[in-house]
Amino acid sequence: MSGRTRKWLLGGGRFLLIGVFVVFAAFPFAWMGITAFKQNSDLYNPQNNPFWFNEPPTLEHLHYAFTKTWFARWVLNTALVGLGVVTITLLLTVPAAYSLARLLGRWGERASIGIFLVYLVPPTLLFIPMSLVVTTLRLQNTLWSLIVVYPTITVPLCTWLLAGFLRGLPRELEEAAMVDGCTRLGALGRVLLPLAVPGIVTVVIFSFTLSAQEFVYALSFVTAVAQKTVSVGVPADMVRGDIFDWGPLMASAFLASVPVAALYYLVIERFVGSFSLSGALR
Amino acid sequence: MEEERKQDGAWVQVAEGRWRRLTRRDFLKSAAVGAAAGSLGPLVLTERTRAQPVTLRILQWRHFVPPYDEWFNRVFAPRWGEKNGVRVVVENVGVADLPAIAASEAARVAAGADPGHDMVQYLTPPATLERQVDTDAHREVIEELKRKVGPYIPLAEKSTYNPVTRRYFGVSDNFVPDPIHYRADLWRQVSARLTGDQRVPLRGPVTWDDIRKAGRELKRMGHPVGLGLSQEIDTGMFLRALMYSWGTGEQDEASNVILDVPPFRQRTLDALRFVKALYEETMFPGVFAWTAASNNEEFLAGRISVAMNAISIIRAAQAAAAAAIRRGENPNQSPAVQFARNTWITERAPQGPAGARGLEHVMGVYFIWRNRPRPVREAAKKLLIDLILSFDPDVAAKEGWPPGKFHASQAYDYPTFQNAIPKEKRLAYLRDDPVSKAAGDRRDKLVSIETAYEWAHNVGWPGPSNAAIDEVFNTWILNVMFARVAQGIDTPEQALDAAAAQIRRVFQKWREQGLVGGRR
Repeated sequence: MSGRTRKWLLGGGRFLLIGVFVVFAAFPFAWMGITAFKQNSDLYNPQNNPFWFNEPPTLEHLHYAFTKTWFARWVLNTALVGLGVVTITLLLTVPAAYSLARLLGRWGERASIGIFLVYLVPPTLLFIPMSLVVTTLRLQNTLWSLIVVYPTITVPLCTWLLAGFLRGLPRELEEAAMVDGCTRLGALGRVLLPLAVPGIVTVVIFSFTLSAQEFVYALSFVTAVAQKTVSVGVPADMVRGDIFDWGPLMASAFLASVPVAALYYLVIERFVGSFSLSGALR
Repeated sequence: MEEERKQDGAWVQVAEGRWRRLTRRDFLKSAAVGAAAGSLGPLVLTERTRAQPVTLRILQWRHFVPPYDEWFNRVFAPRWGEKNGVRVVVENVGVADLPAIAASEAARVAAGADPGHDMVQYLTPPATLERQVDTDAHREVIEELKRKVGPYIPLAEKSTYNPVTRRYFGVSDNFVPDPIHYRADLWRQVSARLTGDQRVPLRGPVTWDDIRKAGRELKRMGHPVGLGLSQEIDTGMFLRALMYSWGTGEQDEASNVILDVPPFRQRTLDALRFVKALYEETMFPGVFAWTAASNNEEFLAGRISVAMNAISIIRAAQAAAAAAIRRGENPNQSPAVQFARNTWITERAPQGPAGARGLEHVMGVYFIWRNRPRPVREAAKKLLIDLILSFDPDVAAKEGWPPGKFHASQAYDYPTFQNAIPKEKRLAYLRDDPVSKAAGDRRDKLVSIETAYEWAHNVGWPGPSNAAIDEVFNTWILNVMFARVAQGIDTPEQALDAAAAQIRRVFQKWREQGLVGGRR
């Protein structure tokens, strides 16, 4: 085999691999997008090609979502909850991760793994005791119930993530700052945090998406239609008994995923950087 | 000086550092105002207290029929609230979401906290929640309704009454029948083709054997039978209907486990063999991945020819037909209208060797949480009574919240107090069904649903729908037993013995908690 053929084959193989991965990752999104704009008569005819439009596209399902349901309100609620959760998560995670990475020595790593294990306790086990906490705090049927409870999921994971990231940053940078007169807090704020932006972006993305997709807590703590988030409002209001309104369901899911996709797109470089930077700085 | 003024009662302080002598006139004015406040105060406060409405918070499913929610949420609840001085808050959630929400509310009730809602409508008998609900309030409602409109049907009694504790864990307002749906056009073709001992009735299946015989042909035509064999609710209903029609079941009337006890053991084995044959001859592997939506989706897509479901299939087909007519399609040529016209339900549940026994598809059961404040409890009881009385369109119209529960649900909700809407009024609606009419369909197509009073049984029949039955249903023990035999994984004997052992453990657990009777 000549070098050129070998190069072509390797290149082709790489593109094939990437192509398969792209199809695998993008297929659900494309399927949602197509179904969101399909007419019902097209959607429910098994003779039709399910992967493309057999009849002209329609905006009927979007219209339904925005005019017959509280979809716009649910999107706003989801954004508000996400914002609140991200804020609380950052406020708790940054000092916690820093302490674990820098102040506890060998115990820091063990403690961060211990904290991460809390994340593995599923909400399906916790929602009943949590509902008592929510009732005691008089937060039932409010967005605050979710803003207060979701950090119990996001903080352990994000602390573990960020502690690992901070551990990868050279301690000497911080020490040099302190030699130059910075306090520990000053060194953290002026030197370490700017370097930790990719890690913080990861924390923001994880906490936002985890809170946007959570279902069990949202289902049990919020039943008022105007207080629901997308993850609960859409399936609750677009499924009647055993009849699924697939068009509006897909249209809503598609619309709700667009901002998250856009967020990922905007920060993708920093997000990927968070996985590579810590190694690069070693 | 100030000290002196304080000691001298004739002086009063009117501002910081400013004092004024109290005259006799001032004293008399103050005394008169004080006396008036003292005597009228309680009255004024009582009036204010009375004026503050009681708030009744209801959680219920998002009804399959959208106009029902419109009626309940926007007509009945507000007008009833206005009439009774109660602020009614109604929250609707998906049927699949009710158990999780009820579980968290039950935990709050057990902890003595506010559950979040005062009354919940469940779609299955909530026997496991008996300790968290107000069983006395339920009994009072049922007794009052029995006095007003007559008997509570046995299906409802068995679905809400625990004979062990002698308590009502809920009040059933309605049930939804679960008939066989079939494609009349395809069935007619098959009926014309089959002769001799393979002959099947022209007007749809009467027996399970008819479904098996016609199903072979229907499968060859590309339209198999679609009865689930997976871990979901419709499968649970279909298999129990079949078992009860074979003369077997999970328990006897006293809640002893019977499915592997002679003579029931042989009947269960026969039912298992029948379902295996039914699957192999008439169905397709997709039934092992069935979901609660599959029978609707597969039937409405024109793929399957026979399904078992609430009248939601026929109503969904009619909704598509009505939309086609609104778009201007010719009813005699419109595929949607033709499809609706060819979607039929059987007159009764299919017959097996021991009888024609079917089930309820949905059992509407309201329950009031324990320890609600007295005014809220009384409001919940009154609302339930008035709601059930409002099945009758004339009562609803007289009260000011027409068209009433039966008409608003488009005959989906069938009353468990059978006379809450008299039979002639039910039949009058079904003979001239406005939904069928709008779909260009036969107006009296659903009239046979009335026979459900004779064939619809509760889950756990002939015993009550108790906590053990609820757990057996929701852990899909029978579904797995039938599916393993149909797939050839287990022999009927192996599957039966494994299921019976599991069911006994479940029953024993609940017997130890004092909620389930029987010994075996």
